[in-house]
Amino acid sequence: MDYRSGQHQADGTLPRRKLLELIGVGSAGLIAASCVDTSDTSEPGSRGTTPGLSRTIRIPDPAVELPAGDVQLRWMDSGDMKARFFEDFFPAYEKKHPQISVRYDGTNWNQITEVVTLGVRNGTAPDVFQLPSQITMGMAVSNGWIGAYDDIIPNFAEVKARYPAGAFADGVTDFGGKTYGMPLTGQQRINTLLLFNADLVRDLDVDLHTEILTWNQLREVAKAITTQGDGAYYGIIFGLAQPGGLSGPVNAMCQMAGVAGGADGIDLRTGRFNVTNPIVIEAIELMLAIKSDGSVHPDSVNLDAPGARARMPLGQAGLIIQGPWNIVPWRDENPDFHLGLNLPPQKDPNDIWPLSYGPGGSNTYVYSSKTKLGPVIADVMSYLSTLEGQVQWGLRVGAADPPAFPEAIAKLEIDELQQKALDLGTKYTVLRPEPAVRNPDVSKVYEVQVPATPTFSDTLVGLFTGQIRESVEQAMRKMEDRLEKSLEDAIAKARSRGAQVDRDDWVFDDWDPRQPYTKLYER
Amino acid sequence: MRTAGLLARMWAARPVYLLMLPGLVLIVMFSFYPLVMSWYYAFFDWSGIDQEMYFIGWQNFTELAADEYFWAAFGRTLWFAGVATPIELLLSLVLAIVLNDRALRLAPLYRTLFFIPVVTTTAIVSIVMSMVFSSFNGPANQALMALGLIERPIGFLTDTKTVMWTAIGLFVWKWLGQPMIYWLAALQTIPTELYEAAQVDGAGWWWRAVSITAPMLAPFAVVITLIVLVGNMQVFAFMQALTHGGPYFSTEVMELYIYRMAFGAQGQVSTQRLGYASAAGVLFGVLLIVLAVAQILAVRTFRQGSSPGGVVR
Repeated sequence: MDYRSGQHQADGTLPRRKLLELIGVGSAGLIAASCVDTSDTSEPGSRGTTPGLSRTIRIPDPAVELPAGDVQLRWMDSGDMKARFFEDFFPAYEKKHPQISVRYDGTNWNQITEVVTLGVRNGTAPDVFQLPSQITMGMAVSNGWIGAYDDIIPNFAEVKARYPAGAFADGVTDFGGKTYGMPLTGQQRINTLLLFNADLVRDLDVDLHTEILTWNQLREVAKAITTQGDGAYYGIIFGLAQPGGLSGPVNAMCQMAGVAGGADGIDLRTGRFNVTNPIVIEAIELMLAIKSDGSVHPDSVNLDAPGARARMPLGQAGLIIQGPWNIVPWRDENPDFHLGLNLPPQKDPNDIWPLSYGPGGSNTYVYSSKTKLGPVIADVMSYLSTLEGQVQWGLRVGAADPPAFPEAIAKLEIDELQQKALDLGTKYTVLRPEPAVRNPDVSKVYEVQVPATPTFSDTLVGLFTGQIRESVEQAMRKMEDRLEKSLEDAIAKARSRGAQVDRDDWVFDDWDPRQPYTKLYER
Repeated sequence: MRTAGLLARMWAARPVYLLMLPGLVLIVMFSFYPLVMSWYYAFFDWSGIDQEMYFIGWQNFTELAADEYFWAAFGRTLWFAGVATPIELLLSLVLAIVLNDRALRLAPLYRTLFFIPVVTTTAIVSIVMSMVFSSFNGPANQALMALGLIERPIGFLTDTKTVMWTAIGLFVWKWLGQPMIYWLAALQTIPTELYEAAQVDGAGWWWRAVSITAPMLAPFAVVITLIVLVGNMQVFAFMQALTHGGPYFSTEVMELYIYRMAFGAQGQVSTQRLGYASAAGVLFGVLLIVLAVAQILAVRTFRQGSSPGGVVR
């Protein structure tokens, strides 16, 4: 399928043959619709999926005894693309079990932080929720705010065994031999893809659909788009008002150039921070050069990620470095916007290092220890931990939040752009070691660590806006000092509170960043 | 006995105290209790979430004293309020004097127009204004370019040299209507006979303003100044929606700093430091208390000067 095939919509015409085909398909669909299970609340064939797999959500009979009286399950998460699944799934679930109603709140992280931080203490937290970044899993467990899935799901060991290595890990999802977090999706996703407006890059010398840009080419392409736009649009747009708006792309570009652990991360082979690595400095200088060329959308400094994202379909910039969660909303809301994607720019396209991700999966759900709906939660989680449940998730959420099961990803039949994003994620990401898994006391360091201020993200914005006037190298040396101090202070504080931890916990001398590090997570 | 007398008087006035009770309870719950607890938390190393709190004495305060971002935010808050307050007071006074003129037939309409931004949601104003002052096709830049005043767009909200001035301008515009109403109320307390008598004596507009309006407004001016000044130090919603404190902390005023310390930023671990944020809030509160005490003293001075025989009531 050609991802530019939406062209016929742009000029508003529809060929007669195509029209007849659509009428035929539509009639067949109406007839078929009268025969299928009406618990399928999704839009048939919508959102770019192909009809090879059934989108019907068939809720199996429960393996646990569900409440007989009327109850309401409260479920809160960060919404986005996940909501597309749950808005289909929960009505189907309510239909199967009429005594159970579900209040689903797909909301934003600020709201989750507010509701969960107060709710876990006063007993009003939703039954199932995601933890805000301010509450570590260890903190939630030690305070008794969340319950263990072992206690509510029958044969939980069997359920766990369906997940790939690294989905569950001591000190991340598991504490004291029990599992408190269910990672419903995987992390084999590239959050920093090069997304481009296909119409604005059509006349360039380089085909962004097929060719991976080099760092130098990124600068040239951004400049060429800006020149072409003549003030109507710019080469590239960032959302610098959001943490990670610039450091995210720099991080990914550096990791894929061989900086294991990322630009401001720790190289777990040596236990040292990477910020003074010459590749990191070169990547930052590249971004500053693109800015000094005048190729960056002028509002980038004041935009957060959603603000920057919203301007792409409006044709205000040719390039943006963000994740695959944009694909479906952009296409649904802006049918005339022609999107393309590829790997982020590479220092050496012939020697691409993978991006590493930590254990514990993604979209990890916990349940409140105060809930009275353990059997309902167990029933829902059991379904979501089946291949069928994971496939249904993947059909609706696609590349935005890929399923946790690799076999579910393999079964998905989604549109070419999403498939490309999925394939790149699978090919260019590997599992890395996590110090907190080898030594659970490391999580006590994370709990007391005060981030270095200004952060790496702040520092890049300071350099970008000219607030930091020193050289990139000087700024990164100071950044390294701050990062070292932040970690050393946290280690000292954790040790003073009884943690058995030292700097060597961040050293894995047998780690090969090109290979998945699974031996730590083998069951 | 004096004590018995006091109790007897309180008992006699019990309906009054009963009516005060709901307000008192609310004030205790939502003002005094948080105030006292913030003092308490300021002496702990506490995330605000975890059940474990560690008493650390004055350590949060000593750390704050060495925190350049705290002092920068402190300075920015003073600077913002110090610049915005006189502009807001002066402009609102001029508007009030003009609108107080009974010859101006459309005065009620203008009063409403100037007051509309005050009642408009702050976040909405900030978001709309961030579009109006956008560097990319923002109407403000387009107008200036069409008039030939600038050749290239100004980064009103993206340039660190201009962003604070833009914020002050927008803030003054948003809140101008409030002190204007206060001034109007104050102007309407001045007896018209004074102006008529002065006019008969041959006093012109300027002398009437200097000899009647200014002294009669002076006691009100102290109160209005305090209200506006304190309001201009509490600009959280406005700044958060307009600039998020950026670019690179350049508009991070005290409240945004406290918020960052107390609740952190998404994507970062363990950034919640409620104890430390409380200590920052306590220091900020001390500043506001100093201003409030200064205002009370100033009001007393004025009252002493204006009361017959200098009796303070």
